[in-house]
Amino acid sequence: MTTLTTNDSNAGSIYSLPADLDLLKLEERLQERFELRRRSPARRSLDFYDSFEWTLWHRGELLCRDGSQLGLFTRSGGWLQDVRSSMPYPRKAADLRDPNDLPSHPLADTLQKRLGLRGLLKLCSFQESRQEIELLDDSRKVVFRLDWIDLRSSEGKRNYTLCDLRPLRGYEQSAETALQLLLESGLAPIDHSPLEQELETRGTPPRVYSLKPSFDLQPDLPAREAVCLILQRMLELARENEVGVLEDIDTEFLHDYRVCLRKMRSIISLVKGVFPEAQTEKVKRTLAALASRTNRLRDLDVYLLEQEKLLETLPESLRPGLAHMFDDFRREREKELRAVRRHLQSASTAKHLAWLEHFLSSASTLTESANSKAPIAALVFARTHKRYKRIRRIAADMHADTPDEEIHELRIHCKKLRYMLEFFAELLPSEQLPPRLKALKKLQGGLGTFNDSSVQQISLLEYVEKSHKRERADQDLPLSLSIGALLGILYQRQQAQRDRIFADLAEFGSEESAAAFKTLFQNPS
Amino acid sequence: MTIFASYSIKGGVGKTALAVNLAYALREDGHRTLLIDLDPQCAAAYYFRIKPAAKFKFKEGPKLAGRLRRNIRESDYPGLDVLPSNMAYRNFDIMLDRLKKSRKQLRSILAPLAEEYDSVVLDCPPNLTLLSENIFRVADHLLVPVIPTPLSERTLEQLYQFFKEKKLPPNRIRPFFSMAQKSNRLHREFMAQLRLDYPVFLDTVIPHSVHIERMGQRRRPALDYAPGLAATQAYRKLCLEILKG
Repeated sequence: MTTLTTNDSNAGSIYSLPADLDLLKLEERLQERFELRRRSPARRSLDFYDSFEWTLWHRGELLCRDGSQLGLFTRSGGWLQDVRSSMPYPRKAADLRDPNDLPSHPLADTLQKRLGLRGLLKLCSFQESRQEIELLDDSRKVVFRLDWIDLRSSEGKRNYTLCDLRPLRGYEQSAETALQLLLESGLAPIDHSPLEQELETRGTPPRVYSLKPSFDLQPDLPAREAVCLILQRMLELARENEVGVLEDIDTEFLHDYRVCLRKMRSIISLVKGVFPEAQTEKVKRTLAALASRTNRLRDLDVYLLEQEKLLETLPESLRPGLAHMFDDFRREREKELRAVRRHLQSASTAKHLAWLEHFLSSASTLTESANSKAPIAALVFARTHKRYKRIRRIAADMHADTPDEEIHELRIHCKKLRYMLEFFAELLPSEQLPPRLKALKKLQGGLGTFNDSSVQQISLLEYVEKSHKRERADQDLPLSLSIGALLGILYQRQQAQRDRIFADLAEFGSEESAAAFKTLFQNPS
Repeated sequence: MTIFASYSIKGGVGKTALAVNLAYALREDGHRTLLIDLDPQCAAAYYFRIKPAAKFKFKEGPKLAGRLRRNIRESDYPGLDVLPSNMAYRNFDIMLDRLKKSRKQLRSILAPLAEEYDSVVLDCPPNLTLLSENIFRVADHLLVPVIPTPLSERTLEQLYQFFKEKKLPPNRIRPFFSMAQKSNRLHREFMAQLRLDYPVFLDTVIPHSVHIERMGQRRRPALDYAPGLAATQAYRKLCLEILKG
């Protein structure tokens, strides 16, 4: 029997023990009603994993490795309950990080589906010793199980003792009798499992992670205060992602780090006049300096994530040519990652961050500026509505021959509108916002594909140019053929988006939509 | 959910020993398994130290399914549950006879179990009745233990004849040699002859063994208390041979 197997039909549940109760005393009590059988004690190590976003935890699951097995469990009372799926995972194998590296198994598929682009982090580890006690009936049939569990955390060496009660299906009467005896002995359901206690002690309790946090804004909050609140929270979020970038756990850390910085820059440009001009410029420059060194790494991540999809668009014979390019990208990524690590750990980054943090916490002492005291809701609503009307005007002028550049510009406007709606979502009527955001997201979907196809064409051409300079004649022909084919496909894909964009635009700019946007900004909550 | 039935028209051929050890082997292979004891003698459940099910009246389809479900007992082996038999099963046929589609009732009784179990093993009573016909219609594999003697050949022949009359798919019948004695020349000759007549015989042979006979005293599956013996290993081999198809 594998150690990770529990019976699906019975919910195990964990109980805490009073300090003065030991195993012998507990057994004595149970022997009043049952014959007992002690199984041989078992020891194992338990490593718990989840993504940075606590994806599995929030689904009510736990991923646990017990030395030889990796198992996905349902979570109950913050502890392991029933195993959903498990697979062999050798004791000596490296720490889990990328679920795509797991050998083929239904559990590996489940994890990939659950985690998407996210990698796994080790939450904490325990050494467990477990003493299983079986309660028997007069035919010496097992009717109830009790596991006495001693845990010792690997970091900090803290001790926890608990009991895992495991009733058997069809023996509910016996379970009730046993439970009565156990409760009388002082056992109590655990509301804070050892795992939760351990995570809290380490300062990493489960939490909700979102790039769209709530800022607790009030409609009449002075604009400078509101913007500072948002900037501070976004900077914290950005910094939470640093470790994941440094350790290269998954590509989402860098993505999120950059999104946070970009959103910060956006809000400063979009809510104008909350700081004196010179300060505004300095914040923008600082944010740009923090982000710019990461551009190339993010580009490479995007190409590599797209690798399979791009290869699939080409006929089999043209794929090897492109494979060389991806090999090049992988090598370049290694180099870029080292550079980004140096950048994040550099003295100048530390200086920039320290300045930003200081600036945001002391902004109230700065001299007043045009909008620093303006009530935030009125200020941003007017501006955001204006942005919508502008998009509507651009949309009205568009036609089949509109050059690509104008579509790109439209994309930027839409992005800014989206940021504003999301930043100040909590000030907007909660029933009216979602349909507007949905329509905007739909439009942005088409614009995004249009833009990606266009950027990819440019970078492919750049890559060809660079690689010709390196004179690798043997690889030139296959590479040029593959890239030529791919350029054609990407161009087709880009042009095909135009119709979709125009259709979405017509809807987004309709009289109906315009009226809805108007009421949205008239009725601040 | 795959349904295995351990069936023989004749009693005392190792039918229950197969059901018990096959269920145990399936669980070892990771299947969530339910052993259903349909034999009013209640031997299968006895081997797991499980008491006969509480008495209840037979009612029709869905209601009956719920009653049976409430009688499911978890064995000492997590992942293997047992639905113990009941003397009232003697009346199973009478009940079936009263129902419409009386030949297909068992299917609707078992269907709701598919969410909970990967495999169901039926230990069937040794006769040829309406319940047996229900079993033939629902089982994916009808495992038939055959002691290598002339009488067994006759009962196997009867089974095929019945399938033919009722237009049942004969390829569901999976006969195998049970309680075979290597040292017995008659057994050897008979096995060779039967394999020629019925090429569908499974390769695995369950030998006669005192260790398996001890199951009645030990009240545990032989695969649990004597896992290393060739005789008990044969059950595991048989299980894998069926699973391989």
